Amino acid sequence: MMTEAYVLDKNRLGDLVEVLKVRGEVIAPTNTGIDILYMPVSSVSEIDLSKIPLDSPKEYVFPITETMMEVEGGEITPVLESWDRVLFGLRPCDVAAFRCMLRFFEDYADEKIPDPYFIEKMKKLTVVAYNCPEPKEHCFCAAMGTGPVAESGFDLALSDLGGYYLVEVGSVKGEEILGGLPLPKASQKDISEKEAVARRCSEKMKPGFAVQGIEDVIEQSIDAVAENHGGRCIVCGGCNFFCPTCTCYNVTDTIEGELVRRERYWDSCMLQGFTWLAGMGPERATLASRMKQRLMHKLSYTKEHYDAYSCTGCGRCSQVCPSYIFMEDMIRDILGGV
Amino acid sequence: MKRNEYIPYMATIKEISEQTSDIKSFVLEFDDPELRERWTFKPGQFVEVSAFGHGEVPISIASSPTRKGEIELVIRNSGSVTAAFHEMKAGDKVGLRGPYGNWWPFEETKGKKVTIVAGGIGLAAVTNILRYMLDNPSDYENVQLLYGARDQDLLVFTSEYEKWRQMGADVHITCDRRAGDWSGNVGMVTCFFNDTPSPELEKVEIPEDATLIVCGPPIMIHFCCLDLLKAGFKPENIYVSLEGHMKCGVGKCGHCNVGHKYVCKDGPVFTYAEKLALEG
Repeated sequence: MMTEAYVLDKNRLGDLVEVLKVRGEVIAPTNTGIDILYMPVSSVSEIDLSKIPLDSPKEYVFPITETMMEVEGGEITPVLESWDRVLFGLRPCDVAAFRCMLRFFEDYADEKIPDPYFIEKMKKLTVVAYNCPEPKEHCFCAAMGTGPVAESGFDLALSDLGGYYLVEVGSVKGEEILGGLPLPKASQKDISEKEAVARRCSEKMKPGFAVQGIEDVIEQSIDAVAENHGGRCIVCGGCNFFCPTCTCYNVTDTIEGELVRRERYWDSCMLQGFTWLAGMGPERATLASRMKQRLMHKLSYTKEHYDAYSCTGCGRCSQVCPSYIFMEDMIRDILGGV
Repeated sequence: MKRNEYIPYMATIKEISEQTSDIKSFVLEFDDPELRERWTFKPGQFVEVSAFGHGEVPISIASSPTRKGEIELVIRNSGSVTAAFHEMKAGDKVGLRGPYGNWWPFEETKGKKVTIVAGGIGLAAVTNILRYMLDNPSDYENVQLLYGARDQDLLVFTSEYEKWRQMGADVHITCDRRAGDWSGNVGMVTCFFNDTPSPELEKVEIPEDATLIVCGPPIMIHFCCLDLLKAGFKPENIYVSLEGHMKCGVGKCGHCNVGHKYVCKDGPVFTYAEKLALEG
C-alpha cells in the first residue's frame, strides 16, 4: 500500500518547520561545533541533516534525570512532566528505537504495569523521520531490519531526493500538519527514486550479515564473544548511555530542606555496581559476564519478550567506545560461531 | 490510565522489635483505612518500602495474609536505606507499595506435605507461608521447618518456635557452632538430612513426597539443593527464592534481570530446575 506522499522544495523546509512549531518545541539535529546533536531549534537554519546525530534522541522521552515524586510534610506528590514536542529529522534507526522502548514501557507482560513517565511523553510527541541517504562508518541498520527507511512509527517522513524532499504521511496527525502546508502530490517516479536511494544506502553499508535468527544460535558462542570483546571494556558505560534503546535506570532520593525528591536516572549494565546487592557484592563481577548480559538483552531477551531486537544498528555504541569494542564485530562473531 | 505504580502509599510503623544485633522486625500499617481493608498479598510476595530521603528497598513480607492488616517486614542493616530503617521509631512514616512478584506454592501444596529449609534471615521470607499453613491446618497434611543460623545470636523469630510447634509444625533448629548457652543442635542445617556425620545434631526424616521450600543465603541454597537432590528430591519439587538488586519491583529498571527473567516479576520464587536454567 502506498501512503499519501507529497513533494517539498528544499528551500521550503523552513515552512514545514514553522507549521511544526505550532505542535510544540522542535528538536532537531544541530551542529553544536563539537558534533551533531538532537537539540531544540527555533528556525530551519539551525538544522543540520548531514549525518546521524551522535546522541540518541531518547532523552526527550526518557530524560537523563527525572523527578518521579516529591514528599513534604507527610504528603506524597507524584511529579509527571511531559511536553508537546516535535522530533524533527529522526533517523529510521531512532524511530525503531522509540517503537522498541514503547513496547517495553507499555509492558509486554500479561499483567500490564505501564510506565506513565515514558508513555505520557510519547503521547505528546510528533515524529518527523528523515530517511538516510548515506550510511556512516558504524551503521548497520539494514542488517537489523530498522533502516535506512522508516516503515512506520512516524507522523511524517522526509527523504532527500536531490533537489527536493519526498514527504510521506504516516498518521492522521501527519495529515493534519500538512493541512497547514499544501504541497503537490508525489508521483510514482518519486517513490521509485526514494527506493533507489535506500537501496544504494543499504549497499554502501555492507555489514556482511543479517541478524534474523541470531537468537537461535547466540548461546553457542556468547561466552567466547563476551570474553574476547568484553575483556577490553574500561567500564565507562558509554555504550549504554548513547544507546537509543537502553532503558535501565537507577532511583535515588535527594533532600532539600524539608523536601524529599525521588529521581530516576540512566544506569548502565556495564557498570559493576549495577547488580550490587547490599551486604553481598555484585552478581555480575566480571567484564565478560556484563558484556554477555548486554548482548543477550539486545539480541535475544527482548526478541523473546516482545519480538524486537533492542539493537537498531545505529552504531553509536561502536562510535563512542574508547576501547574500540564494536557491536557489529560482536554480532558478526556470534553469527560466525567464533 | 492505570495508577502510577511507582508512587508508594503512606504507612506508619506500629511496632519495632529487635531480632538480632543487626536485624529488626517492623510491623507496618497503611494510613488509609480503606486500603488497609482492601490490600492483600500472597505468601512469598514482597513490597517496596521507602525511607523517605534515603530510598526504597524490596523486602519480602514476613507476615501471613491470614492476619489482615498486619504487614511485618524483617530488615537487616546492610546498606544505606536499611540503615535508615534501623534509626526509625514506632510512629514514623514510611512509603509502601506492592505486593510484587510471585509466591510460594501454597495452593499447589494443599493436602500435601511441605518442608521448609531456611538459613539465617532467610527465615523471614518463609514465615509468610509457614504461618499461612499453620493458620489453615486442615489444608496441609504435614508442615516441617528445618532452620539454622551461624550461632544462636543470629537466629530470628526465637520467641515463636514453641508457638509453631503447638500449632502443629515439626520444628527443628540448629546452629553452625556452639556459642553462649546454646544447648540445641550443632551443625549446618543441611546436616539434618544429608549423610554428614554430625554427633551433636539429630537426624530428621523429610517425607519423601514433601514439597521443599528453601530460603537463605545463596551459598546455603546451593548446598541445600545439592543435598536434597542427593536425597532423591526432584528439582521441579524444590522451590527457592532469589535475591537481586532491585529498584522498581515491576520489571522496568532492569537491575534484577537474570537470563530471560526478572527476579522481581517472574520471581522471586523459582523452582530449583528453573534456577539452574537461568544460570545457564
